[in-house]
Amino acid sequence: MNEKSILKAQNLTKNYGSQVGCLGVDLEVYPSEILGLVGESGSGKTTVLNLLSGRLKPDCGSVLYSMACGDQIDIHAISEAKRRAISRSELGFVHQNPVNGLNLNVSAGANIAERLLSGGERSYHRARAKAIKWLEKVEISASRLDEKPENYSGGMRQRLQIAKNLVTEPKLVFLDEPTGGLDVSVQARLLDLLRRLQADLGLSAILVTHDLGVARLLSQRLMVMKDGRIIESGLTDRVLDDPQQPYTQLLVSSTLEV
Amino acid sequence: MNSKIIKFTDQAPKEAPNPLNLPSKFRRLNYAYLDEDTKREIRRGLLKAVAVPGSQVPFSGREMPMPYGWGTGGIQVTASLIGPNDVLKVIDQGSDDTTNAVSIRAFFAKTAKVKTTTITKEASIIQTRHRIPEDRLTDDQIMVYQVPLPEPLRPLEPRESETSTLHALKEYGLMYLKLYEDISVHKEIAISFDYPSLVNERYAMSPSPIPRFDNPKLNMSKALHLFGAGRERRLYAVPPYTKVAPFDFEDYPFRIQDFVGGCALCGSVDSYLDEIVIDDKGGRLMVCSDTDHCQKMREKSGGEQK
Amino acid sequence: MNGQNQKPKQEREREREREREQEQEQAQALKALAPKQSLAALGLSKTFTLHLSGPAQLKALDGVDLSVGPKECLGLTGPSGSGKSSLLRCLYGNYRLSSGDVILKHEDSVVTLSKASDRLILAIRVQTIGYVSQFLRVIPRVATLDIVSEPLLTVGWSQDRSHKAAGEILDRLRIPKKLWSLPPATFSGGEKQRVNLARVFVKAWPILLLDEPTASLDAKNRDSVCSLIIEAKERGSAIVGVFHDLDFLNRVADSQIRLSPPRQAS
Repeated sequence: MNEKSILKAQNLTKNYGSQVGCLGVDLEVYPSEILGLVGESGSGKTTVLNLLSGRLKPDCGSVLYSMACGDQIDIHAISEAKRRAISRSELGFVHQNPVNGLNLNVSAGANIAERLLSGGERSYHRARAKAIKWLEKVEISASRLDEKPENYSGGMRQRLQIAKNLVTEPKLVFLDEPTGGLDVSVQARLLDLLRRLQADLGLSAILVTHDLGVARLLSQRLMVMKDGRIIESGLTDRVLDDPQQPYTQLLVSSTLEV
Repeated sequence: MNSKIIKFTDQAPKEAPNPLNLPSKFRRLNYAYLDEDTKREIRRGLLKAVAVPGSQVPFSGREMPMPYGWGTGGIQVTASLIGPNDVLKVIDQGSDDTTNAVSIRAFFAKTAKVKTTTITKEASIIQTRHRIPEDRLTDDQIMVYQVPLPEPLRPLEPRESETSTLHALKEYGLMYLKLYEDISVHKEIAISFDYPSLVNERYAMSPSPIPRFDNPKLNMSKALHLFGAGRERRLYAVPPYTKVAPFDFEDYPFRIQDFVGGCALCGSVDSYLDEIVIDDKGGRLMVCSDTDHCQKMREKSGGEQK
Repeated sequence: MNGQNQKPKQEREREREREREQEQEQAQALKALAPKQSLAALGLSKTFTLHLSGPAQLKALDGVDLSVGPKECLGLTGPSGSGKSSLLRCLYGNYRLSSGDVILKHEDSVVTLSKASDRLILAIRVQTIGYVSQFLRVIPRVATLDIVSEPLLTVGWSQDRSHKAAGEILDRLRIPKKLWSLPPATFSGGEKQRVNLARVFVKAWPILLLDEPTASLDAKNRDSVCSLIIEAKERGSAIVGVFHDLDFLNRVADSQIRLSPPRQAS
């Protein structure tokens, strides 16, 4: 199989002073796949996510991204203007806390429309129609379009954040603990939604989570991080059912039924 | 443009000059109140502002003998430009006779010994708060605006570092977000004053709190427009013959306010009208906000009747 | 221009080299896989290293050979602990082999599973190998009908067509229609197992792995599963299964392999 990856990171390293953020991380993401990244807090998962999405500059290493037009670019070598434009159109970033990804001062509709407007949409009606379509796709009633997300529940806010990111139909979405901090029942609904959106849109995602159950259900391939390094990677079910590294075995055995 | 205004020396005067024999009361003050170094710094800032239309240039803003919000930015710009041959007009909400306008006029009459006027056509510098005169401006006139909030993105983005990045990258999606929100809530773009505009197809600019009725007057104007924000310490400019386009949507285009009926005093139908309460029973009158324009129209129609 | 031309050239050479290697591998694998076989294991061993207790070495499989061709069903027997489930998991790529090889036909090529990339194994699981595990593991709150249609949707069937096929198979496995729109979380053990079976039997697979498919089923449902297996066989599937009851084993299996618990190194 000679598939081309959509994102390829090589030797990503980031230190915070004497503290290791991540060390020599290599990874590849292929079209329409969800790659899981697990590990305990402080293992460097979020650092890797921020480096991959261009929100943080690495000390060394590169992140090659294949754009929709077919060109390959290094996320960290292009101009700030171009990086921001790509981040707004072809990439998505879903924060664990929706407050960080939403603008609570404007309506849900405006939140969804923001990427379109930034991308040059100059028709109010077209922007609004797309906002309605996406609100419904994430199972929020269109009647709540003009409400501010302040009034939304945690689960609704998270779904709104997803809609806000997907409205430009990005190729790759970074998910940082998307189900963290949600009730179990709300979590389940969100998992289902993410899985369906992935299937419908054929998008790729990198999913950071410390919940092995979430990783098993959503990701096809899994990487385990410890102390800033990737210590084990492979098919999700293989890593979880036949873990090789002592730490992975500990992680798997410490989890309630996954 | 008045050539004498732009001409300035590199050397600061060695002692407080008094070439115009200012009254003794003001003799200790420099010409036009500000010291020459400050004026020179402001003029440099203004040159940069003119060179990059719509872009905000920081300056070090002096304390003025008036509170912030009363036009400290505008008055510093005027002070740095004004020369003995200038004729100054000052308006506040279109009116020449409010306390603010009268005081500023008197201030410069005394400190800079300039002629003042209320007639738009006669003025070489017009300092304004919240209006652009109805009369067409000419290419030897300078408009000086008093600006409270120079950053058009500020209400949408509180971080200065972020707004300056947005300007640098010409990312004005937030502007459209604000318009989107207005239309969703009010069914129209609900910005009546300080309507943000794109200058020279590059920088988003706050035109100061002029009514949106006045926005079209900025576009391709023959006059030089200079903006000074005292508290925020920012200068910016719209040079003559520069495109100034209000932000809008294809399907919700920019519109100026329209008024039903004309001015109750002069009958003018194409000027910006203020509502004035005339008695205790709620009687109201719509009259021109530009007092000079109104006066002129009344004289004209009066003359015709005779 | 020169710099740009050179790079693809090197890459092309590397690619060609890779292709050559792959061809050689395939030739070897083909030799190993008898002409008409779909799936074979050669000297398959699996040892778990349990780092948390020692580390201890736990041998699960020791040099297992097997092969199975189209329209054939191979039954795995042996006492509990003899590694029947582990063997199926190795064949599915769920467990990493300690030594030996698993070789199978995928589309038009022969693949050595232990050397295949993760992405290739994922593709094999979509197209070639169907696996009925002992437990149903699905995203909570997804309707049964959607769970069962999923394998068809992933290979590009339309929603309507997939739902229709899913309905038919659920019908055959006696899942009442009123349950179709519910997620299986609250179903009984037998119902869950039948949903698990339906999810695999909804599609035709070149290779089928069945881990105790009838463990919690009554006689009627066992009969249905039996006919499903026989039909799959007739359609050309190569089947490897662990069947806990002997009677059932004899009804579906053409041949048997008996596993015995491997001797543990002390």
